[in-house]
Amino acid sequence: MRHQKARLSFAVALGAATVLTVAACAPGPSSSSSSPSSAPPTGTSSSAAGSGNGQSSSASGLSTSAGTGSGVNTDPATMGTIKLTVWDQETSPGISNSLDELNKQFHAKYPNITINRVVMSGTDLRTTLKLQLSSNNPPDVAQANQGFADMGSYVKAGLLTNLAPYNEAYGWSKRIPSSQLALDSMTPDGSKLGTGNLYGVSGTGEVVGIFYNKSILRKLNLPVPTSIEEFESQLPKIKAAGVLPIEYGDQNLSPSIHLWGVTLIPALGHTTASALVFGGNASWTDPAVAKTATTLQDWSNAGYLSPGANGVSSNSAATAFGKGGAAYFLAGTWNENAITAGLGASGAGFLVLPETAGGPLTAMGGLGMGWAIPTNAKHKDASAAYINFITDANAAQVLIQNNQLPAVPPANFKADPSTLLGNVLADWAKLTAANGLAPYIDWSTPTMYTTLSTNLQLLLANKITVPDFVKAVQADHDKFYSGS
Amino acid sequence: MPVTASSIGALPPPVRRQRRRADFVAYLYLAPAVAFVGVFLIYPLVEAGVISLYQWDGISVAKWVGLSNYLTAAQTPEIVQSFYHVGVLIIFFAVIPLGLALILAAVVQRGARLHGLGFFQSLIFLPQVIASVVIGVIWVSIYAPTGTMNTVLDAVGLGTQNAWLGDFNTALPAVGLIGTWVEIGLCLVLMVTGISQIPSELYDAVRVDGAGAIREFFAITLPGLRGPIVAALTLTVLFALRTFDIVFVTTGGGPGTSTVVPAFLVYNLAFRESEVGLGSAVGILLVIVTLIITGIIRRLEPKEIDE
Repeated sequence: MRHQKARLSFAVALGAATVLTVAACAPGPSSSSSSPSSAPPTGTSSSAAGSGNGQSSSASGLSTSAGTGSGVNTDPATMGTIKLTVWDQETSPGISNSLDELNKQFHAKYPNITINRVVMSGTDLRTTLKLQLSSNNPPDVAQANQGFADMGSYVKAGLLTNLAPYNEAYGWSKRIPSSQLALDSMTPDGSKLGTGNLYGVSGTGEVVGIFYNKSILRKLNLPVPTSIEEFESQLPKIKAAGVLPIEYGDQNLSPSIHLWGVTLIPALGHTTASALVFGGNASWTDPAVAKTATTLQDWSNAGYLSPGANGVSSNSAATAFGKGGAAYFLAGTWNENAITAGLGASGAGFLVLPETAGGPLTAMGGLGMGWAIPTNAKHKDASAAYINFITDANAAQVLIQNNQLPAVPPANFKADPSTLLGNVLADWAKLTAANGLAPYIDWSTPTMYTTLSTNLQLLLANKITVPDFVKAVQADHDKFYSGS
Repeated sequence: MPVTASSIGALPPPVRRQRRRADFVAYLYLAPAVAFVGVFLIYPLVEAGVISLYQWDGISVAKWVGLSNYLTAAQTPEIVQSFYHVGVLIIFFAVIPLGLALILAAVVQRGARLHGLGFFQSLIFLPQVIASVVIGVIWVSIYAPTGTMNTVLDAVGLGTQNAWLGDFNTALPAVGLIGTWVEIGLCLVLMVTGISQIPSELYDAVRVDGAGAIREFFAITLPGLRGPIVAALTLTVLFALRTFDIVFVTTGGGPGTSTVVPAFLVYNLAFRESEVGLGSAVGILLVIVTLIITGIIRRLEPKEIDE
């Protein structure tokens, strides 16, 4: 009897021990993703979350009323001696050097303001910022990650300043396209993206487009395409010539969404594509969805994509393209380094294409984390002046000098059209001028990333039909927007 | 048998007062362990159980939904499928390595004194001490279309360009084989140690009776290894059930949903999709499955314990 009992308890303990790791995961995210006002949410899921929400709604009411105050001081020289603490996650050299340079310039221009820059990894920033924002002594300026999970939860808890008065004072919406400001905007309850108040201003940008190998196109006597239609018409010719048309690696799941986005977004048009993400009047039953999904499946069946792509990481695909493995590579601008490492500075080009030649320009992309001002920050006017300084035309020039893609390229900027970087810059500038930046389509619901990446893999492997695919995606959309 | 703290309470009390005192002291000794287990194990487990009864996005007000998260879990093909996948993984992570280890251990035992046995044992045990994420990264490059696996197959004339982790048919077995590679060392060390504890007289006796190697294995080695087998099965099955890191690194659940496992779903639902309630429900279901399976394995343990 006793043995039996001891054995049983041992089994239970062992079982429970393993499961601990799993079970611990479950309450884990609540503590990391919930607002600080509902501090230890692991404890009381329902009640803590309930009271947390009560606080946050009153707090957000406070932040909106504070935001309506007029009398913004836009002259930092008159603000007295101030030390501004700035938190960012820009650890990679190009952008980090740009910020150091801009900080130096700012201090030289306004000697009464000293910048204390605190750099940390993106993960560190996201975890520590939540706690710091609710303290009485938060950073004066901090980068907030767009989307429901981070910026949304800060906004919901009333921890970020509505930048509307500063937008008015500095005229941001005059120089920043509305498609970009939308990404840093939310309703004060954090429930909707793309509308409501402005909570951040971003300095850098990225876009998903088409990289092409210049020497392959030249060898095959193909012109650089000027539309998606022309691009598609070249694919069979490239295949017939024994060259892989499109390099593709989808082990990380996200590349499938980027691959599809290149044809989907222009087919949907900027308005519909944005509405799908921002919860506007749009639906995945739009004919453009089925049409481009069919195209994608056809590409796969015709062998236009790398074989065994699901087992190849996106980095490997970028490297393979850099080694001349394919004519085209449909991916984001962040792959530029991997490509120039193989093909040299001017061996590849970059394209953001309209659906038909001369049509409206629109593409999927994003912005660097938005520079935001915590509600409890002490010197908000100085913070806003600093944000204005590091996102203006001069700042854009500094970013370009450091091989970065500024969110808004300056009007008079010069880019070398023969290099990939120059190409990327020129196309980004064209897209910005056309106000054509569309948000990543997987932002539309919290589950859309999984739904899209899973179903796109199934679609490309002919495991589901296009109507099944559309149905699955629309079901995800319906679930989120009918539930809330 | 040694008098343990927990068995004191069950002893018939000679004197009432003494017993109470003994109880008190026993509980005092137990307190640190109970507190630790309570705070870091029981509490999170109960909490996860409570959360699983709510629809909660992790931030806003949770809505009481009773058992509907469990109903949703039972009706979601992806979740049901994940438990089937973990069943396949148990074969690769526990059954196959144990079988291979038994054969290898029997061979090693017949081979008597092998030179450098300790060295080979540590070598084969090495995967156990490497972080799972590192193992995942190593195998991603082995399984890549141009990786070692295909190079080796090509060398023996089985030229393929298969992306083992990217093919709907091979992804799950490919992930499973990583587990086999990891667990075989552990199983082998447990079996070899177990065999060394079987009295050599038994082998002498069975040889005198004229038994061959195979007869010897089934008559002496296998029954003598029941204890180590249970230990090895428990450890490897638990490793299979809580598989997360290897899947996360190698396939991310893909292609499609062909390598999705419950622990991965718990993470995905709770962290990425803000379905904390449903994620907790899957976690609790995994706890229940784990308890049932470990309970069954414990039944295999030898009933007789030397007094």
